Amino acid sequence: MTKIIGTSPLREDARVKIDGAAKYVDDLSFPGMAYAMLVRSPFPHAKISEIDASHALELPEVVAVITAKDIPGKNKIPIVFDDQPCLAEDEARYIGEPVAIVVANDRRTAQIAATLVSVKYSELPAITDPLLSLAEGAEKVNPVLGNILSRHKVNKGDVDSAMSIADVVVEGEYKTGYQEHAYIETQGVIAVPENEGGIALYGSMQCPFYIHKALGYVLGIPLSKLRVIQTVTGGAFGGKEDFPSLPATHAAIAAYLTSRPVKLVMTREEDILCSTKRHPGIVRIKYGARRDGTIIACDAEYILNAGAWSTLSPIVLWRGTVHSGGPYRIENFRVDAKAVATNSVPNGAFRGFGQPQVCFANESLIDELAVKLGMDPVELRLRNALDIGLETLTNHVIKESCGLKKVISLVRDEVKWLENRSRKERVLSNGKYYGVGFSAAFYGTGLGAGGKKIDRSGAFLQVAFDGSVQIAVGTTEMGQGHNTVLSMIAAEELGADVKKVSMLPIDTSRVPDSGPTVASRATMMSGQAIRDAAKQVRKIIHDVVAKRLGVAVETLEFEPGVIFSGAKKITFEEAVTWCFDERVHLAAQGWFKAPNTEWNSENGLGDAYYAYTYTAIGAEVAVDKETGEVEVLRIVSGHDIGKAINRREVEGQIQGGAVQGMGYALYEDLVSTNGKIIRPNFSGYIIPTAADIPEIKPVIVEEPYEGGPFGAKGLGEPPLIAIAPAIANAIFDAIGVRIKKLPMTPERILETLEAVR
Amino acid sequence: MFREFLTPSTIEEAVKLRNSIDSSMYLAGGTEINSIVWPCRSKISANTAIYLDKLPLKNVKVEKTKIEIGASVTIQELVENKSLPPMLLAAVRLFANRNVRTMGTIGGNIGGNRACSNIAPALLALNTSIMLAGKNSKEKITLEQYFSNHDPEKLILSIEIPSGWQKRRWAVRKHTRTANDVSLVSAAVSFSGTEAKIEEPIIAVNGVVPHATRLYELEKKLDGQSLPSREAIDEEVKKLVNPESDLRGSSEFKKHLSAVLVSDALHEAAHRVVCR
Amino acid sequence: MKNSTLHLKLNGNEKTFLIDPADTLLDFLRETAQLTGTKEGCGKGECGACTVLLDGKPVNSCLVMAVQAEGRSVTTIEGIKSDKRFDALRASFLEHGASQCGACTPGFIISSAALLTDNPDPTDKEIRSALEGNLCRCTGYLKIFSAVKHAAENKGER
Repeated sequence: MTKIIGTSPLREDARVKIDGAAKYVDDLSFPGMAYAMLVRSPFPHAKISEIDASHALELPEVVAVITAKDIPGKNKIPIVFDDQPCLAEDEARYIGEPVAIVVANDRRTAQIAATLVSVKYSELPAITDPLLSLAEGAEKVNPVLGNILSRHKVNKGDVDSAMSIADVVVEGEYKTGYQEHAYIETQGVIAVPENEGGIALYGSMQCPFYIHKALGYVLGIPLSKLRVIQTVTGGAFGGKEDFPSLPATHAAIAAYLTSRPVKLVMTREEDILCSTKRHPGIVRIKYGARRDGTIIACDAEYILNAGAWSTLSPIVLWRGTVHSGGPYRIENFRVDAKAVATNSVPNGAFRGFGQPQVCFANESLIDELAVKLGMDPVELRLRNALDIGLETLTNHVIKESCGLKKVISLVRDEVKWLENRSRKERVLSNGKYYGVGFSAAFYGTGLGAGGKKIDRSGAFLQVAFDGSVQIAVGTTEMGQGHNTVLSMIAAEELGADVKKVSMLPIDTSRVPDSGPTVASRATMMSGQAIRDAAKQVRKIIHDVVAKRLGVAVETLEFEPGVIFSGAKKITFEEAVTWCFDERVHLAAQGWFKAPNTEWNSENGLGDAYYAYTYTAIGAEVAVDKETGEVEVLRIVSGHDIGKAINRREVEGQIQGGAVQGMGYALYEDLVSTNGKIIRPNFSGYIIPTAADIPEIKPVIVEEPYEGGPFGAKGLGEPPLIAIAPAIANAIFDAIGVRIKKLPMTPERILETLEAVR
Repeated sequence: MFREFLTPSTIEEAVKLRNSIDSSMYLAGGTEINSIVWPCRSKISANTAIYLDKLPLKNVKVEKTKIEIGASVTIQELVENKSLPPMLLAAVRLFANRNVRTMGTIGGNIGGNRACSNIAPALLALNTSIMLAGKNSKEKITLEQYFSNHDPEKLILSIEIPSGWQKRRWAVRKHTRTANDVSLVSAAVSFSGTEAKIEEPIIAVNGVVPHATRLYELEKKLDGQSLPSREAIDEEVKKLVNPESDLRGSSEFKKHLSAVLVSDALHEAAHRVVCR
Repeated sequence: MKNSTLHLKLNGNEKTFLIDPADTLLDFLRETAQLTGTKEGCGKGECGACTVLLDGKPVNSCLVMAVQAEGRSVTTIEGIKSDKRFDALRASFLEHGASQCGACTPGFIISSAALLTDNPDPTDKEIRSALEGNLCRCTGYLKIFSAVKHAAENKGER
């Protein structure tokens, strides 16, 4: 029986945040610090013939203006394909692409000076529509990779024959818009020159080792001279996975060339204009089913608008591809997916990572299939749901930890599905129409076959003389509760009091590379690496204790803070004192490699991931048919996560993800015309506010996964993924029209109702 | 970007400063101005702020025949003033959020003359007039006149709501995407009489033309008549407004919304118990 | 250029500073007064991260020019700690998991403290409406509502 796992200890990191004492990057300053501001391309595609900085340099407070030719190392940002430059050189390929770095003694001068750098552009034709980019003879958008930045296919069985014998076939095209992360703390870094000739880079980030590598590229100096320090990070959601490498390299180059600390913190406008976002998607999908509701075929096409550079698009696309048919056993499955280059801001990681787009499509279409079959949509899902012994879309046979049917049933009951679905009185007292909708999803946790090479984690654990425990991992706290959860895992495995466990602040020179903090993997991967280290240290302690107590080590039992053997009992602190007396080293390195996955990239079949989190969502809405307004009344969000390590933080992830998903579904419309994002602020880009929030009921299912710490699987992303289709299905239930484009704004709903022509 | 702040203590002084300094602006609460005079996002080049804080414009006077509200009274002060017409209270409560209402003033909201003000139509429906100080003289005009001939050089001193609102039925409406979003279309209506016979109706909308406006033709049609069906009202409103399409909504959408909001408001008003 | 003076009561103490008239109250607090607990989220009055009390009332400090604070009292997250409402809010925010990334948290604390001063026993609806100017992207708000409700019930006795 675990003592700490499954409880809800308080978050130690929250204390300083509540006090306002936590230091975020913009709260730090260094002696002699200068400020950087970027000069950015105003055109979606243009030739750069000349950069004249003389007017900017005339300002006495301006320190330097840096262009591509000044970069000491490579002009490349390493991510997947290394196609993106740090600063545009001959051509700019999207609005907002960095062209020059202005460094000044104060922030305001840097802002003004950036407007005084005169860049001679000659505009070139731009392609901002992915379908035009795919057209034959289209101008090449990405000079390195061409217009199809990445393509994935899965081909299982014989889709065409299965479709031809299917009793019922449904198909549809679904479109989704951009989504901006809208973390409350904007992107920011400070680069500080170090005495040894290297650079220390402080910043808001998810993946310090990505930045570490990028700094090595652009500065051309050994990684051993560079260190990256994560500051308290004010939200990320994927937006601080790949993107921070760009501002980090800008600040580092500026610091390296001027020998001064350089701060670069983006304004909200700049952040919305230039940082990565969720890819707009187009999904064409078709299901064939037998009369009894068995889905026998799924055929899909998936297109992502990737923007000018490839960033993480190949992997985002891959995740979407292998999940595109939904959490169902389908014998015949085919998907063709492309990430397409356009002259617009590069898109990247965002909670869900290519899945929310396909989930909106497949889960909307499942409901259409139910209508055509005359079946209850939840029954239809249960009939086809993945289960132990069944294989996923890519032929991965599930051997353990599959709570999909359970989570579907629990959410169905919690949302009072049968009762609400068959309500006779649909018009509420305020004149709005009531509807209830359902959706389901699965999510391969971790990097899986697509990111196998970096799916490992390191940890270092040491115990101090007073019995307190220090842990170093390279995965990061960005608000999600990482440090609390990992401290709990360490305490449980080591037998220490959770209050005595501390996580070392992230500095790449002091913590092991635990891989990126993405793909809902940190609890699983770093959790297992920490357990590995904790077990080793526990053994060292127990050996000493057994010897001193004169008992066999096998007789020792432990609970947080105490070790006992029969009636003999000592505290963890006493045991630690004994260990110091015995001169043993109370420290260990832990390591964990994700289980191997077998993958055939030819046909796209194999174990895409090693384990999956399963999700079911129920949503109740009230729709105003006159104004098109949708009020979400209640969301029931259920997830099989193996084990809830910290229940309160699990609920926090579920509720926060539901609200982001609700924003994606209804409000968040980033308007872009010809590659230009319009109104880049929070009065143009509308995210949910306190007054819009429905009751959100978490449902937690725990089907343990042997490979995860105490049975846990990943949870960070699943809470967002299936919200939009549940709301779309509820809107259909309420007013009988299907909205096939996100966000489902009042205007779009009225258009579909044909109230507005 | 403001480089200089002047804080006059009399109205005369304020008007004189405004007219003698070329790139000057009146600054009341600052919620409209401060975010747009910033460098790099600057749409306005103003160097001098004439800060109105010391002017005697902060009183609310409730009299038998009228209510006078000083231009520097904040929106939050209105929210908290229970002696104001319920219609005005309903509109100011719907406006933005507490933080913005603490600084934002009624004069600033009117002077901004923005299509997203949901307070403006409510004031029109209350028959409000406005006191202004120009270069050489003071004047009192109707709020409708102010909005249609907007002159930012004139200093708003106060607004005046005549009595009579006590006997009128009323309703206000606002459409936004989220609760805290700025208003896309808003409407306010008031009339005397009953559902069976509407008298002296005022119907005001914002967001469908560049500034808040009354729909006089519809008012004329309804005066003395019984309340028409929603569909009939919709049709009439759509004939009268011709909003421009922009990024927040197409012309058709805004036209539709204004019709729905006006007919909703008229129907709500007809069924409201006159409480004073 | 720092060429004008600002007298104000900052977190309870009468102070005089030399400021740049182009500074917002937020710029002044973070850069001149070095009170970095007040966060900038948007710089345009759209997110509430920079909420402070001006004469006891909540405002977005990015929408107030520093000069406008002349002769007034300003309370930031650093100054509200002496207030007994803060203790209840702090304990309650911790207990309910109402702070995740924390970038919005000081703003929420200030708005919540202002609410509880005016209305010691708010309804759920009043809590939501008092907080609608503060954006949070992590929690989904619900745990913040419970935290404020709970703090109100405890009335600073913890």
